[in-house]
Amino acid sequence: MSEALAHPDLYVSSGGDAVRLVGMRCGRCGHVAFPRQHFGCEKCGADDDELEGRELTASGRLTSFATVHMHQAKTIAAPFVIGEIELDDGPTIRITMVESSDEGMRIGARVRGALVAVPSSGDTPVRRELRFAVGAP
Amino acid sequence: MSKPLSAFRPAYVVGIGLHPYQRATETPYPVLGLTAVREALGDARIDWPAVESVYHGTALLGMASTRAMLRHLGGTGIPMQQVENASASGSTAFRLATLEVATGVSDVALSIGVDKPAARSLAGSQTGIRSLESGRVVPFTHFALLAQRYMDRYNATLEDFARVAVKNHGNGAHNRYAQRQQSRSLDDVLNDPPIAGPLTRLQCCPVGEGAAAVLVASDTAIERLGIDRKRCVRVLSSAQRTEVVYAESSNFDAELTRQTTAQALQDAGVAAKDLDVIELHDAFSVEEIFYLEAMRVAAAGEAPAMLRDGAFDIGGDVAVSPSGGLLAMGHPIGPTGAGQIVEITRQLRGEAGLRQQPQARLGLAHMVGVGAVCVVHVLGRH
Repeated sequence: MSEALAHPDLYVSSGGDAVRLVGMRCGRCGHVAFPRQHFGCEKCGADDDELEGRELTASGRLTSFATVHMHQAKTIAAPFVIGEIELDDGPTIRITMVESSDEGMRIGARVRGALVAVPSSGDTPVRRELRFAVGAP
Repeated sequence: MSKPLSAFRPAYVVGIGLHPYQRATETPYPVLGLTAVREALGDARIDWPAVESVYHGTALLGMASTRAMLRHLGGTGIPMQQVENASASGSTAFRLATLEVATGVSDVALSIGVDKPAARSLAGSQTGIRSLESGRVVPFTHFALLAQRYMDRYNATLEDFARVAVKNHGNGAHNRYAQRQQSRSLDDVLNDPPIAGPLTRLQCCPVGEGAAAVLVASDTAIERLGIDRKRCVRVLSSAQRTEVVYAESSNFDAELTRQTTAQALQDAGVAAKDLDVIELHDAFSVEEIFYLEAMRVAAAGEAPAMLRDGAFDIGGDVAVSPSGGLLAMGHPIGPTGAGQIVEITRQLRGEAGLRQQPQARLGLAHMVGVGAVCVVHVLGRH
């Protein structure tokens, strides 16, 4: 379980398989967004001085899903399933699902984040990548 | 205080030209562009030296593409500039040419779109802000997600989306400039290879090469150059907006379309129900459903039933994508928005042949582009 995270700027491990998303909150207008950035609030324009990092719970509700049957990039093998998820903490994200088929998947289902080991490729070693899966946390 | 287009002097489309949209070939891009410009000049029956300014919508050709092409019309020293606004590049070039004529800076301005397919990364991928999906959500997957949600919300079916492609391919079959000129049945569309979610290949637009040219002129120029007034089409409004943070964040293109279209219709002093012809951004079949509802041409959830009943056919309440749209005419990026103006103009002149919407008097052209941007024009028969 010690493999590095694929995108440590987007999510952090909070012990074992538990994971939290690296989001932000605007101190001026209260807008909660993902991912964390330092350029300014896209809702009210507040600069970085007023932006604060906020870890978001990796759980939410499935608002849509799609099986992708083909992809131009040779490094990305199809098919795979993309989920659109409204996080319990507010922002909507899109992410690869753990499930390899959308059979039985339904909009409104509870979903949760899970760290999945992705095989090494080229110079990149095995890493843990965030995916989401259907099911309560 | 800001002013709508109608606060300035009238601007008219006086000449239109196209190079067919097609799969990428070895044809150099100046051949594409010059074909469209010469056709537009011939259509208006004016000569190149009458043109005072050029806006060239292109996303893929690269730096300094315009004079390298247009010098072959004979150098006149006029200002020329490239306009890049993703899929709305040609629409934006047309807007700038229209504004230049309306405000009196020029009497005749050319807007043109020319592109050839090229692999270029979006600047948005270089902002330093990363995404969770790591390149796995390309446009067809974005629209597949929106389509799935629409099906869930309104009990829509796969056939509802496929019918958009059937209609638009049927229109494109009568358009000699279209990249896809073959009629397709519902079975053809549904049984085509799946791409993502409910979308099959024939529900995704082809991106090829081509060119579109639109000449815009003032009353002064029409008089001075002896242009046939009966074939002039007035630009009634021009609206352009960009995305903001919406409560409904996923279908931002529809929210942006709702606002931009409302502004364009209001500035033109007309209602959505008055429109006879619409060319819209149907890069993917489901978009036509979303945008017709966002434009209030159809109530929420009702576009599929209206489509099934023929309301959007040529000869229906309002002909939608009579050119074939992006789905059949094609989406060469830079030319696409200018090409919509070409089709609307042809329709309002009554020169669209087998694609003619009867008694077409009022048309709307709509493009969205990655970013997201949206450009809407309303044109009316003079």
